[in-house]
Amino acid sequence: MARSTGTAAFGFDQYVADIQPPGLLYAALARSTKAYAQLEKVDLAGALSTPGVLAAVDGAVFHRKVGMIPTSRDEPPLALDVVRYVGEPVAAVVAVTPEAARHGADRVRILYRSLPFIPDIQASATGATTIHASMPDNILRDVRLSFGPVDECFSSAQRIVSGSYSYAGSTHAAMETHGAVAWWRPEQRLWIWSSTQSPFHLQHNLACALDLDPAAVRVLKPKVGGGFGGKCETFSHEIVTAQLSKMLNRPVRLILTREEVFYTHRGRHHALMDLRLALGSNHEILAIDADISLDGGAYAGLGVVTTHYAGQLLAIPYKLKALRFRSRRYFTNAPPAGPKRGHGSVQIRFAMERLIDKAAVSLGIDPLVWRRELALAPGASTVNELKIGSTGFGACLDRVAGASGWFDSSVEGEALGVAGSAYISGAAFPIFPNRLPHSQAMLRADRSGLFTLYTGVAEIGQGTEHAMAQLAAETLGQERHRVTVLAGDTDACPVDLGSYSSRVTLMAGKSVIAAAQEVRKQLLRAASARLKIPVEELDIIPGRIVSKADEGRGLSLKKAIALAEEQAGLVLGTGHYRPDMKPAHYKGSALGPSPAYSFSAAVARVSVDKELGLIRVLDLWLAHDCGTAIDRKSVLAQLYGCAIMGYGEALLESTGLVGSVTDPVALIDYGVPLVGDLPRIHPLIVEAPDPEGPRGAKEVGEGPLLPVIPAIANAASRALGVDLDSIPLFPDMVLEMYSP
Amino acid sequence: MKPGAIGNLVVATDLAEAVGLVEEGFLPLAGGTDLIPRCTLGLLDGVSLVHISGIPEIAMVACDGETLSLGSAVTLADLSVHPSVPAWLRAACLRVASAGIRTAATLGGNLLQAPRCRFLNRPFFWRSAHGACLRTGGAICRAGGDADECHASQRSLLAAVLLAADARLEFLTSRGPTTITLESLYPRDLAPADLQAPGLLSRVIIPNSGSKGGIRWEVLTRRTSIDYPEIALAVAEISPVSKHTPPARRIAVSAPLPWPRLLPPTISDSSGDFTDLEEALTTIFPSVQTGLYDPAYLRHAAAVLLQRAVRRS
Repeated sequence: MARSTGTAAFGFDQYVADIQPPGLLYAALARSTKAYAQLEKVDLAGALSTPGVLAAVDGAVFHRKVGMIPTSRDEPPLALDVVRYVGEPVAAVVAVTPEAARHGADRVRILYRSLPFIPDIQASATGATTIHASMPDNILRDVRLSFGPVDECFSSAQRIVSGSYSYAGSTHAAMETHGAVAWWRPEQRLWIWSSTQSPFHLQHNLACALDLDPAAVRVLKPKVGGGFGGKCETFSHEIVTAQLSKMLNRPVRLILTREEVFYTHRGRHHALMDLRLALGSNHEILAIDADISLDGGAYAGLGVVTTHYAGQLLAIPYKLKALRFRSRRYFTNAPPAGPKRGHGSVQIRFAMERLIDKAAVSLGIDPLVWRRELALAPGASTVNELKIGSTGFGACLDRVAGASGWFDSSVEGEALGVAGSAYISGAAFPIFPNRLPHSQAMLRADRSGLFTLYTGVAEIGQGTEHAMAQLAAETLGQERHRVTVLAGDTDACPVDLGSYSSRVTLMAGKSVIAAAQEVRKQLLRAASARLKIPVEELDIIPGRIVSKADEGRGLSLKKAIALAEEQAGLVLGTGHYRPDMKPAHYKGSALGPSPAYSFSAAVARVSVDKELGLIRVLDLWLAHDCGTAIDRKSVLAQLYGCAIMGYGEALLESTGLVGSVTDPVALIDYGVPLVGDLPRIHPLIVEAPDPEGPRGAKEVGEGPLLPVIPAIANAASRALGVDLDSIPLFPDMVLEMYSP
Repeated sequence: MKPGAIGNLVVATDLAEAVGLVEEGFLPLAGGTDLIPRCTLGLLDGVSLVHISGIPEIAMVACDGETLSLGSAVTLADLSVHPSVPAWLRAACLRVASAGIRTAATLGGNLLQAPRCRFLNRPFFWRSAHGACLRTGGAICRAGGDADECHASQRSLLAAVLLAADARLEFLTSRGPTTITLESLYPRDLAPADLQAPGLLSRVIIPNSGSKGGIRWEVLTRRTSIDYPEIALAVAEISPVSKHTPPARRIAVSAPLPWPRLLPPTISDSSGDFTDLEEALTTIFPSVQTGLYDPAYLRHAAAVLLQRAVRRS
């Protein structure tokens, strides 16, 4: 079980590659070199004759396809009969050394019968070739939703503005690659350590994939070196190591190389978007009409969610009377796309914010002031029935305007651009429909005066355990160091659904506060009995429980805990959280609702080398309404992270196929920004406490990314006087769009 | 996923041993920032290496008034701060790779680095999925739209800068030293072969006379560090022989050309002006994409950068 120690910087923490059970074996995957082909033969003989190799398996050993969404489980752990992208795992080899396993995997002989492959959305849409027999039109999901009088709004509009937008795929570039160590134990249970964002989903999915009782699977999440959405799903390497360990009764490790992470992908979907805005006589948005096409790659993954979010979250952060969208996710013969920070929303937010700016230009009005006028009010309900609690959107716009000098005269050769956004603080409804809590926590007081918090949250480097300890400590009136967090073990910790959808602070935070409140009550009751002072007249301060009227009257925390133990045994508090929400009465309404929405605004200041098409971002002001900043340092860290990731997506990064193979496959070739590339970043915290959040807190991990990309594009568009509607803004493409 | 294996690795105890091993076919290994990744990618298999970075004779900087002599094993980090090294070269060194890499990468390694291509400098598995190219035993160039000539490009900014500076190279063999011009080191064709160095590169010699006002260089990279150049060029204004002689220029380009080279004097007119430079570059620049950007963009960008370099000089 991972213990929160705050020692990551010292190198003491254990990551999955550090896990070394006795008798450890090593696995490697043989992958497809064809984008789309029938598997005529998978010959394991060469692998099995490799010195040091103990076993090799192909897809025939698995009987179930996997996938995060129960209705779209389409991915075999190892390809069976057909391969659908270059890099798809076909066979696995286990050996006594990593080198022998790799050598053995390289000797797996795969015979293919090539099929015409589908490289992109356009080819997929023709339907000439079908990637999955059950999906003859190559579309995983075609979501068509309409809210309000869309056609009426467009026919009565004073002005209609439209645009077509493109957003490239990108990868997460987490520092730690994926990996797992599986150990089929003598007691016939599977232990698996994995670099995962969702230990409890992994437990469930592994059990499904291997026909096991979930009780037979123990997931242990060690420290994780970043995820950004890329480690949400259950992957081949996790299922394969589990299967091989079960076969050999020995622990098996498989750590993906960086190249393999690029094949595993689950990164941002490449998106093509057509948008129309109907504007009224007072410049109000009457309606949005959107047509969205997503390149989902070869398998479904979490694509159903992506497809819905892309349309549903268009309803925030601006007031509108009507919304219509069609969102389709196409299969192509590329590595599967998936959730990346700001899942489903980043691409469409870019398109929407570009279109807002385009409309502002055509109206001759200030785009920042206009956005402020359009902002949804606190407590508003959107056309698709998303319920807004608090909103600091206006304050975010004010902060970036003030800090950037938005209204001051501009500098020659430079331009400012603005964008706004909103994002969910967790999904109101779980992936597996049920009425169970989304998050549970358990807090134990120890007679030493310390507290132990058991939680299922998945710390992936974002500071979640730190925030949970802070919430528990504040509720108990103690310093944070008195709370130790034990997390990441499905045997020992209560359920939390995982680190995705920006849900942890709100959902786990609520359950932690509830657990801490219970412990607090027990301690106050015990102290009250001893001190003969009513509970309501007592206070807890660091290390002591004292009379509010006379701090001299009190007892030590240790004593209070001992007294509570005398009264009732173990001092234990539990808490849980499940959003008290019901879906609206339309199909698809379960995707989009959240207990609370965060809001963000960004201003970018750029200069453009007009001869070369080079955009230089000089400053980025990024304001985010996180409800309440539970830990300001952590909030600032997320704002910096979002600014950097957004900057990279806007200008430097993309993944896609070169021929039939994904490219790039190494960080040296992938344009993730380095320190020397970065603009000056000015993070601004805005606090509009939400009644649904723990101490009013909302998310901060994903939402602030959203406005960064369109703010840069809007600034560059203003600088050049052209519409830059395609991301990333590579200089050759910028120059193509700009003719001086 | 299939890395190349290294055959022998010998740490040379002195210069003579290093020279002898190079003559036997060992490849000199100094910083390893080009060679080791090529081994890792499986682009070199079974090669024998002689480690030369500890040999003092090739790790020094000397200035005798007429020339500046730079040891081939001097790191770019050391060059970038050496007081005898001219500012234009120190600055160029600082534009190569990243601070960490520059502490290992050497001048000799930079000049002798192998050409790169987006279809070549990729892992073995990736290349297997595409099929072999001219440099990996295949019959076609993947970058060139299945052409039969290689379009890889040696992307050394320092090569362009030192070409413009009219640098010479000293190679050591068991028969003694040989000095050649840097220009003559690089082939003029697209042949998919590695450089044929005539011995162990020991020194880079830069004449102190000849170029007026130093070397002006320009480089285009996606990021400000790490990335190999998409375009690297340099310009030297040559002092006129007499006041009646028009000024001359030495213009050198490396990326995106196959090998670094001097551009012909006809690139500009008799008064030194460029007329339709972009068009002129069409015959010199590759027509296929071997890096990040579209070839037409690279021609345009190179023309812009070249004119900027000239204007600055």
